[in-house]
Amino acid sequence: MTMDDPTLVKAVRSGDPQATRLLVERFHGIVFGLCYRMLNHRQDAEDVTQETFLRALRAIFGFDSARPIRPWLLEIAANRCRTALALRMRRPKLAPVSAAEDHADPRPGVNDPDNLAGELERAVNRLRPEYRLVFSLYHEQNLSYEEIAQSLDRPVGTVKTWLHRARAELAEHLARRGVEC
Amino acid sequence: MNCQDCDQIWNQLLDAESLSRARVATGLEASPQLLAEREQAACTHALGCSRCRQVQTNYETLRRALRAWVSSARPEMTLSPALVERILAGQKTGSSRRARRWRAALPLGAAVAAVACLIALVLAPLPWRPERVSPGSDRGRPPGPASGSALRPSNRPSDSRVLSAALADATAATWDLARTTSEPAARLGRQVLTSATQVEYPSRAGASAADPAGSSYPGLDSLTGVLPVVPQAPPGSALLQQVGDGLSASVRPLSSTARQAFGFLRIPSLEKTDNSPLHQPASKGA
Repeated sequence: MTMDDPTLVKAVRSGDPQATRLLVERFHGIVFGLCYRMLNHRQDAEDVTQETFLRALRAIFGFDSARPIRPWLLEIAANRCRTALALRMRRPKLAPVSAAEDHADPRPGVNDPDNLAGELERAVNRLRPEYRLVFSLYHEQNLSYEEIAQSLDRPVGTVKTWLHRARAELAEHLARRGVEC
Repeated sequence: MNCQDCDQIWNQLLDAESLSRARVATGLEASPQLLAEREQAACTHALGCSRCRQVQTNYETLRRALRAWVSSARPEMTLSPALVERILAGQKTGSSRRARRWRAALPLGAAVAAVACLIALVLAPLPWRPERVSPGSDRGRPPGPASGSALRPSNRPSDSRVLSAALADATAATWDLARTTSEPAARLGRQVLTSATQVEYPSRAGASAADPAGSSYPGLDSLTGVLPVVPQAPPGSALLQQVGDGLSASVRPLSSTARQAFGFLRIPSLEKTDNSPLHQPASKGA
C-alpha cells in the first residue's frame, strides 16, 4: 500500500494501527541515522529513536498536517539528542581522549574513497554537537536551510554560519591528517 | 574577486553537493553551468593568492570526501529489525499505561469528592465567624440578638449563643494574661522614656514631672495610653546611676591569664601613637 505523508498522518490520527506501523517503518531509518550521528552510540541512538516516535505519536493530533512530517520528526529527534547529550555531559567521563589523533596518517592509499569517507567520518565525530547536527541534517538528511532553521528553532543565518564553520573545521582536520586528493 | 568571494563560492559548491540532485530541477539552486563558471573564477583568484590556494585545496579534498561519504554505506547505521517492533510495543505500553493511570485515579478522585462533600455538610450549619470581642468589652457578656446574628443560622440559637459567650471569655482571658505578663517590660520602658525626655528637654522636665503620664508630649500620648500607669517612677539620672553602679560592682578586673589570652584586643597605648613616625621631626629637608 503506497500512501503519501499527509494521508498517512490522517490514517494515524484515525487510529489505524497499520498506518502507525507504516509511519514508523518509513521514517525510523532517517531518525535513527540522525540519532546515531549525534550520539555515536548504537544503544543510545535506538533509545532516542524509540522516544522520538513515542513523542511524535503522542503529539500527532497537534501536528499541522499541511507541514511535511519529516522535518518535524527530525526536529523532535534533534531535541531528544540534545537532551541525551546534556545528560551524558553530566555523567563522569570514563577515560581521557588521546591527544595524538591529529597527526598525518602514515598509511599508504589515503586517497582511497573508503578511506576518504572514513576520514570524514572521524572528522565529523569531532565536531561540536551544533555543527555536527547541522552538517548531518544538511548533507545526510538533505534538509534545506529553512527546514533546519525551523527544526532547530534558529535563524537561517545562524544555520548557514554553523554549516560554514563546520565545513571549514572539517577541511582543516582533513588537511591536518594529511588527506590530499 | 576577493578572498571572501572565494569562500562564498566554495560554500555554494559544497551546498550543491547535497541539494543539487533535488533542487536544481526546481530552479532553487544555481545551475551546474553557473556553478562551473564561478568555480573557474575562484580557481583564477586562487592562482594569485596563496591563502585562497590552500583553502581551495582543503575544500577540494572535503568535496571529494563528501562524495565518498554520502555514497558509502555505513554498516553501523543499519537498523536492528526489532527496533520497529520495540517502538510499536512502547507506544501500546505507553497508551495502556496512561489509561491505567486514569483508571487508578478514578476511585481516588471519587473518594476526594466524597470527603469534600462530607466536610461541606458538617461545616454548613455552624456559625462561620463569631463576633470579635474588643479588649475593653465586658467579660462574659452574652451577645445580644443583633450582634452577629446575620451570619448565624436561625435554627440553632442556643448553641451559637453558648459558643459566642465561650469565645468572649477566652478573648478576655487572653487579654488579661497579656497585660499581666507585659507589665514589667512596660514599666521599664516607661522609665527609660521619662529619663530620656528629661535629658533632651530639660525646660519641659518640670511639666513632665508634673504630669507623670507624659501627656505634655503629643508623641507620648499614645504610648502612655497603651502602657500601664505606674504610681511612682525614679528620675532618669538616678536610674542610670543605679545601672552603672550595678555594672561596676559586677565587673572584675581580668586575670593575668585572660589578659595574655585576649591581649590582642587591647587598645594600643597613647605613648606609641606619640612616637609614631608622623610626629617625629623630619631627618632630612628644611
